[in-house]
Amino acid sequence: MSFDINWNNLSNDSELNNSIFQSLNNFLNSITLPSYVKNLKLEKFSLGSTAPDIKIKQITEPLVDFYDDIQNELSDDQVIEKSPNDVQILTEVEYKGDLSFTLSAELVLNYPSAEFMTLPVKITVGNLGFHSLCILAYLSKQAFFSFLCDINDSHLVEESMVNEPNGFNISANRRLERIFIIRSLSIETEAGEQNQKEGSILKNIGKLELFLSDKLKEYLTRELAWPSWINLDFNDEETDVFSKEED
Amino acid sequence: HSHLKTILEKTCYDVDTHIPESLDWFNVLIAQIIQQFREEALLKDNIVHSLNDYLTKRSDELPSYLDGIKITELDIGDDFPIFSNCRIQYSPNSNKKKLEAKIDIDLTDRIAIGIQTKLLLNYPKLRTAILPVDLTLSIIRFQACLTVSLTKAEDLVPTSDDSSVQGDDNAYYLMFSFLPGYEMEFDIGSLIGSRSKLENIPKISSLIEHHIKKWFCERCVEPRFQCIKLPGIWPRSKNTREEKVSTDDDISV
Repeated sequence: MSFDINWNNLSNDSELNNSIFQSLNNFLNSITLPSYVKNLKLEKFSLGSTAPDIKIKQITEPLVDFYDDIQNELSDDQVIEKSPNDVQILTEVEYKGDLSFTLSAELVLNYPSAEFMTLPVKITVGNLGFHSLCILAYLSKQAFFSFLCDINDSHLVEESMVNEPNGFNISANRRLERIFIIRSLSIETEAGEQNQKEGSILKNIGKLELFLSDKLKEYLTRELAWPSWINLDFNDEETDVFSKEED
Repeated sequence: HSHLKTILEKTCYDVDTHIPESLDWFNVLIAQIIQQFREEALLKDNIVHSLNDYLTKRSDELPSYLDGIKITELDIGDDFPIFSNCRIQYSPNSNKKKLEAKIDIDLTDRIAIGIQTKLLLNYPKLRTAILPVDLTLSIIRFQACLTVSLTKAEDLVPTSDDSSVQGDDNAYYLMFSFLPGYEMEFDIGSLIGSRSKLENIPKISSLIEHHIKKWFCERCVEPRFQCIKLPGIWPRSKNTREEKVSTDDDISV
């Protein structure tokens, strides 16, 4: 890897784990559940012990889109200025780690009558895998992170990353929009043993797993994949993340 | 005004018609001084070691995103600067109250320093990601027009608020500065990454070049001047020496 990552620093950080737990939980609560499931709840989250492998592909000026984004936040008389310190790293990120989380839910059997039977289940999500082209940009004390596309689609990025007079720009190419980035994601469900033979329950378990898998992939793509990005603003932090004022 | 006119008359220098002078004699003397410095530094490994010791001692003062700096190479060059085309003129905007010398300077050499460090990403936890960086910075060409003049401290304004800068108002200073159209050519090598590395990234070169030029420009490019206080040159016994008598067989008397 080109970056050495202290994954233990992250996986043991309770604050970080809590904040991921919270946002994942918020997302789960926002899902409109189908009639055969209720009380979907996040029980446990673990970042796992394996770091992603990050290779640097290119170091350039940040994309114009990030400047435009900051500019939109500013008032009319403020103009964002480019600084020679602004930098963007194009990376190849490969993850096949043991990140996992556990959900609890109740499966509902609505036959022969509504809520005829409920069955508590434990759902484990893991085996998350992706191998993508990502960008990490730092400008104006803000960091931007976005998944561009799967590594097999990287020609799309290379074709469309045109060096325009004002900097790099890929927003013009909408083909990159919402390209699928998750390669693998497994969902396993445990239910009480006495119900294993119950056909309709088993059928609903299968349906629930598919439903959750679709929702999660959709969520990750919506939150992380180009033209979406994570934006971290360090302007209010006392100590800057990347740089410290001299003097 | 008439004061300067008298000086020019009595030194037979007409600023309008005097032809530019070569400074060949000066180049030879400067080259000797530089040569001497290089010979002392011939043990340049020693300089590398002492620089590294210095950097290690002061590593606490490094910004939080750097994990120590190690000097891996130091090249002090083997060529000499050539000064030429020297002429005296009235300082622009001085209303003929000041004189200055303008000298062209040209240096083609390789003066290089190699640096090894690690960039740290301190978010969301300290040292979350570490990126090894190898840099070689060399200056290979410097071409500029130098302005030199003498002046009293009362004519100068310090650019920093540091009160220790305030000097003796009656002392004379040698002022020098470069004209903005200077050329400074760098050769910057970079190697970035831990196992798979990226080599010679133009963005890194332009970033470093920008900072070096900014540093230089804020100190030595007009309208900024560097000022060196001139020592007294009145002959004094403590400054008096005699040349060593060199004998072939080195017999002491």
